[in-house]
Amino acid sequence: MKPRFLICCFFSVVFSYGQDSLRQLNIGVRMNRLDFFTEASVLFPGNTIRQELGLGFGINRTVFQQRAFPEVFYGLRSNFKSRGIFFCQGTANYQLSFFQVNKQQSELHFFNEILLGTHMGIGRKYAFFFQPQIGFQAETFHSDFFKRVETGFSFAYSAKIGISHAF
Amino acid sequence: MRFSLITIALVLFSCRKEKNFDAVQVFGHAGNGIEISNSVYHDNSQESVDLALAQNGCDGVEVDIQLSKNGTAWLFHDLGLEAETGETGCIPSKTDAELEKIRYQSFHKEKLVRLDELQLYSKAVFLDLKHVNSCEGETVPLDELLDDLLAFRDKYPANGVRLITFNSEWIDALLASGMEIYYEALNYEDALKYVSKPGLKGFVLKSENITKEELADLRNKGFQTVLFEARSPRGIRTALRKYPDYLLADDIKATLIEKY
Repeated sequence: MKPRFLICCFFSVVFSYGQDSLRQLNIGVRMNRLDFFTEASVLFPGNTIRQELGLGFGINRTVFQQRAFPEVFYGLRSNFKSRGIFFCQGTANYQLSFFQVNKQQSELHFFNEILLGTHMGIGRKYAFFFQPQIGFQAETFHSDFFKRVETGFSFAYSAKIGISHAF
Repeated sequence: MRFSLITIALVLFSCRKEKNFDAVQVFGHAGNGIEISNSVYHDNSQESVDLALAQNGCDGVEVDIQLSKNGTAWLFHDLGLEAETGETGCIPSKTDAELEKIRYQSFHKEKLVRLDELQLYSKAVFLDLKHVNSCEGETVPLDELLDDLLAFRDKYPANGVRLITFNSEWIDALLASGMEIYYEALNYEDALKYVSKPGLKGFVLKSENITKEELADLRNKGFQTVLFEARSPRGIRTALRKYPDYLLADDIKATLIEKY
């Protein structure tokens, strides 16, 4: 029941917040090394560099394994090229996601990602977009066995598709 | 009203996970998993073993063992070196000095690990013995391999060092060494051919190649069972519901989520 409750809260917050104060609402599905994430974000108005804040959850862990896998992310986006209805922007994102592996213990596994890539798409008020990114990922958790915090760094990739609505 | 309440209760309880997998021990397959997209380190590396053992709920690891030209046991999965290291040849065709210089073609460029260098701490291990020298098309000498295996067991006497072999001709010699031996069977029928072997501890099988009932029959005959190749959440769930003694996990986190 818990994951379903979290999903409802997540969508209600994003949609209610977006209606009256935000420039662009994005909804998409992102694939990375960990899971498929459903994400929603808001892109704030700006001249050259625009800021993006978003939330998401891992579909496999949350839905198919009934273990909440929330994610928050912050991004920067700048215009590269815009011709007609086509656009291409540079992106830099920081993503933080976490879940509890072993329910008999309280430790969480944290995943930090730093990603660079492009955000390209087609459309004006409503647009379809594709956002491929690459970067680095760090997995962190406390090991009871070694009695220390374990961190594993690795290469990261991410591909996101979705739709956006400009206000 | 009563019918509705019963229906709701049935739906809720049907969605609950089974919670009685405590007896199934989770071991990392080739360290922290093999050919899995979210793996941080290369399989059969010390880093991969450390990360697996660090995870709360992981009971041990399985690693793959091959014999070098000098008769030294090394950890390596593939029969050839090329796909994972870029080097030509096989482990049995390389000397220890040559293998010392080789690195995996991975993000961390991990070095190949000699069995006598493997740090196991206080956890258990399955050593999966690769008996084929595919470069020469011959079987590696078991007596040379046994020396290293016995030395490793003596180094970790309390850990539980278990051997897996796919070579039925090695079973008797391995049993004579006094170590715990598991035979990797193709399926239930193949396993049945070896149930008369005195001292054989158990069988290792692909999860999809054995049913829950067949596995229960092997247990009733006094054998332990080790399942592998359960990667998706559904596959892991299916494997756990067969109640093996051990599950070799490629995605340890996903397996622990299903177990707990």
